[in-house]
Formats: sequence, C-alpha cells, structure tokens
Amino acid sequence: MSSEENKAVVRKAIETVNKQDLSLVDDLVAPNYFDHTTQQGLEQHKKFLAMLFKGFPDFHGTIEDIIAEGDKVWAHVTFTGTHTGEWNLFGVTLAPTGKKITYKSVTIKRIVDGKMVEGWAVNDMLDFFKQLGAIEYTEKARKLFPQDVV
Amino acid sequence: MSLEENKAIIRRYYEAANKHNVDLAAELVAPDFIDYTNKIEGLESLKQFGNMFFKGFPDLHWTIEDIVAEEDKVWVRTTVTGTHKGEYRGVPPTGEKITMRCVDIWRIVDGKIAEAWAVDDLLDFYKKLGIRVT
Repeated sequence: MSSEENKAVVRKAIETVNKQDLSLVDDLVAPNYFDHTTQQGLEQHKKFLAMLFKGFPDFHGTIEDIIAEGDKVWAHVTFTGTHTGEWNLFGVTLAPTGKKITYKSVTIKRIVDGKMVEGWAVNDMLDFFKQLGAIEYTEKARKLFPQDVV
Repeated sequence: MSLEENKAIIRRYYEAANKHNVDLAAELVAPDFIDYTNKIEGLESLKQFGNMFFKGFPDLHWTIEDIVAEEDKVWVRTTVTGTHKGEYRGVPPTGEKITMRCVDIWRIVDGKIAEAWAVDDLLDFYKKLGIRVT
C-alpha cells in the first residue's frame, strides 16, 4: 500500500465517525487491532464509539493535516460535538450538559493491507473536560491557572 | 532539505531542550518563528517559554517515542516528564512528578524551524497541580 492509500483509510475512518456508522468499522479495522493509548482492542473500540455517539449525537471530526511515512498515518483532527446524551466518564455517568465542545487530537494508525492494526492518540482531554465543566480547581490550581478560573 | 535532514534538525532541537539550553535550541529556529498552539512568536518569546518551564521543572525531559516526516513537516510523538521542584508561575515547588503526552508538528523552511503546532494531553499535569475531574 502506498502512503496515499494508507491516508485514504484514515480519511474513511474519520468519515465513518462523522456518519456514526459502526457497520463500516470492520472494513477499516483489523480484528487484531490494538490501541496502545487506551489499551483496547476492536470490540472495546466499537463500544467506545457507540457510547460517544450516544453522548454526542453530532460528534464530528475535521482533518486539519495528515502525514504518512512507512506504514503509519498521523492525522491532526479537530473534534466537535454537543453533549446531549448520557456519557459515562471513568465509570461515572454524566447527565447531558448541553455543552458544545471542541478539542484537538492527533491520531496515529499503523496500516497493513488496507486495515488499521495499531493505534496511538494524543487528545487534548484537559480542554475537553474544561468545556464540559467537569473540572474543579483547588486553591493551588486557581493560583497556577488563573486564566482558567475566570 | 531531505526528510532525514529535517528529522535530524528536530532531533537536535529536543537534545538542546533536554540540556535546557534555550540558546542552542534557538540556533535551529527561524527569527520569525510562530507556535500557533502556545501563542509564541519570535525567538525571545520561545526562550522565555522554555525558561519558565525549566525553572519550575529542573529535570524536565523529552523522550521521542515516534517521528515521521513528509514534505516540509516533521511530526513527533513525545513523552515529557519532570518534577515540580522550582517556582512555577508563582507557585512554590510541590515535589509532584508530572508526565505529559504530546504530539508536536514542525514546519521547516531552509533548514530552520519556522512554524509549530502541538496537541498536548495536559490532564495529568493539571491533576498533579491541583485540579480534579468531577
């Protein structure tokens, strides 16, 4: 597979998220897929997506930039969504807040024969939780991050 | 410049950062450098940003986990660790060990670093320094 073909796989995966169509996942992700960041396989990945679509029914990713080398594709993505459904946060269910969130992510996928086999991601989770209003500042944190506590 | 040459520039940049040598790092950077994520413009602003962290975290260290290049860009996945042993933004040292996971995106023009973007997972960093996720 060429780098451009591998990029097309990742572009399709983001489209799948945007269409919220889980039936397309098997075409793009290998059965032995492993995500190093979440330590999860394919079935858990599907469950995560289903939960995400429930919590953020308008969840949408826009690829800002994409690069490929060897068998890896890296994409810089802006995700947006409105928290109108129940969302399970580290085992604690968070009732809909109606908040619109935007956060940045870089997703890295290793692709073999047109399917994703390994993944890594860095997500700006701090920004995500801040926008959800799910962050509490101690006195020390208020002093450290005064720009956040306005 | 070849892709491997561009990667070598970026590796040298992290080596300088790990030595906490802002002048050495600045030699690799263009005078009109812009970091869109951290809102840094120019070399003085870049040096100040570095020194603020080095003062607060005297053992601050970047580990390159993965690096790729295409055209004029180099993307790097890093793990950044440090201990809050110095004053950081007016807060006295807490002794907390922090870990940040980051992807830095660099654009290189004529052998100098010209532009940067970053996605950082600062959740652990903020947690150690006093926030709670509710």
